[in-house]
Amino acid sequence: MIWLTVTLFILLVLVAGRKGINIFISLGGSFFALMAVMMLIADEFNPLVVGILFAVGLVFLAIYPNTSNGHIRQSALASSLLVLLGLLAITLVAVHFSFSQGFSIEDTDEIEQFLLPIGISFPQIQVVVLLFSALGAVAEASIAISSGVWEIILYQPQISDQQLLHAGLEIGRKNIATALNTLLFGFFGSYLTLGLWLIQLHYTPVTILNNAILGSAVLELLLGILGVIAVAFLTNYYIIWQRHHDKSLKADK
Amino acid sequence: MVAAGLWLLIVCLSQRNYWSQNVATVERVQIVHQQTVQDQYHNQDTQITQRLTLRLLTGKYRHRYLVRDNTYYQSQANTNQYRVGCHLILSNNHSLRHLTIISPKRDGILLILLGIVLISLLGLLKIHGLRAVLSAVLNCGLFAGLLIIATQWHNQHILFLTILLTLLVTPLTLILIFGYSRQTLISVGATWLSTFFAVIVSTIILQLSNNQGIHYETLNYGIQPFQWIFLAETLLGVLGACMDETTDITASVYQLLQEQPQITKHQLFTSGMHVGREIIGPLINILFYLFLAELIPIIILYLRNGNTLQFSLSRTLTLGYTQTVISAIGIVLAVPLTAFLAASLLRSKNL
Repeated sequence: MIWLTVTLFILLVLVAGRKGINIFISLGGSFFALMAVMMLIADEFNPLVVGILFAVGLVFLAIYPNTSNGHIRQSALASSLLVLLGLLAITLVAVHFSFSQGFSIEDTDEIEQFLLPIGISFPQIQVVVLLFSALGAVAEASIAISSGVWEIILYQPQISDQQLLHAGLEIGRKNIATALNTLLFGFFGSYLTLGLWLIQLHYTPVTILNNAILGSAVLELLLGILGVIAVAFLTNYYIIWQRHHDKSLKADK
Repeated sequence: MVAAGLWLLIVCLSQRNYWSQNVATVERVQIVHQQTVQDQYHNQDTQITQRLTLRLLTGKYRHRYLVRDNTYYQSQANTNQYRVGCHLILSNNHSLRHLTIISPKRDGILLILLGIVLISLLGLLKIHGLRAVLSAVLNCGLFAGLLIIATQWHNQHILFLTILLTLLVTPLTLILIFGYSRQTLISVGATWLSTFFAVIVSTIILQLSNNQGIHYETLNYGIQPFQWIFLAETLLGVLGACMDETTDITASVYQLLQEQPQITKHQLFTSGMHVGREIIGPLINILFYLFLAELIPIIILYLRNGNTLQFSLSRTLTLGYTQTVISAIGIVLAVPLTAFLAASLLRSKNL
């Protein structure tokens, strides 16, 4: 594990130079942030409050090292945060109706040694899990789209809002299609064992449809895709709004 | 229109399974017992028993009422608190008296969300959305096929099957989404190369360090054979991210070549590298957050049961961490590989 991590660091520096070091540091930061989230929740801080505060922090951590100028950063941050706020609302509803929190019978091997009534709300923890798993994809899409759109503005400062929106949505479409696949294969990779297990148990279709772990996995995937679609559109509209309201941009013209 | 039709089809197919299953709705909830419990780690929780009045919605007892008790803990780690209006799945016994609650019906909200996703994909993205949805459906089908064949062979050839799937899925997905062109072919080649390269390099490093610190036995559900399934999972995880990346790099190198046909091969390579550097950070983040988020509940459970953070991590995190680092290595390796392939192959007239 240590050697793999070292290899990753060396490769990052070889391929991306200084930026590689920044990426590595931000990954380390995210790792410790997630550890902090787990420890704070285990220390009986409210999971939702901890989750929301750290989600905002992680958005900054994901976007800062990967954006190079202020405009790109601002539009990526604002649109990611807005989308996460919307996702939070959807997640609260979805967890309430899907009963996908915590552990299920299939986890028995892993959890039978433990006492489960630990006094911390697992539905709230589930909301945090879903929010965090969508966060990476939302941040990626917002960065890609705002960099693309601001590059168009840089080369054609006089472009009309309509044309800009058209071009921006084109970038968004491409991004959604590829992000969909990244999430889908990430999901396949994570749940290969679960799939093999479900088939080996000879479950009926009804049991599979209502399996807690699978439900939670599908929820994760759907929320991620929804987040990417929302951010693709929001980033575009936000940049147009930004163009009209940002004083430094007006001074340029 | 297409979206709504597709969604209705999925809803019908999934709900058809319920014809022969007893499903009930909760009509009334009454709390009959409540008590505070404490364990040796001073975890305090409330155990609540609720009396549910259920009305059956399907089966031969349709519209009949029955009363069942449900005991849950306030924290709901593996128990559920039911509310009025919830749908529950009951066992399929022959007598009304012996029906027991199996689980809540979970798929309703998932289908609603799926509907929203499908309608926004097809409604907002039109033909692009349709292509993306088609490729997703196709990939899910192939993945399900992989699972079924692998189980038939008792998981013995899982890695071989996954490699086959990788070889097949990459061109199918990319051609479906981006259309057939030399650009797409180069992306396919680059994806293959970087995915396999990452997995091979990592396997060698793992072998050289004797799998130090990795607990293969902690693989979920204790499924055998650990190592091959682990590698297969890793391969799939790298694949999605690499496809995303290689298409981005080839697309921008292609665009540059269109704008400046006289540009040298070296300049093309540099520009490919530049685009690549911009996207590796966010892409690694996607996989990293996915992997870390899934660990939150189990690690909290370890911590609340009197374990140290270090022990909890060693039991839960090593496999996911290794997989994520291997994926990250693949994502980084894909940059020079794709930039090189795109710079040297895009211009030549025949491929």
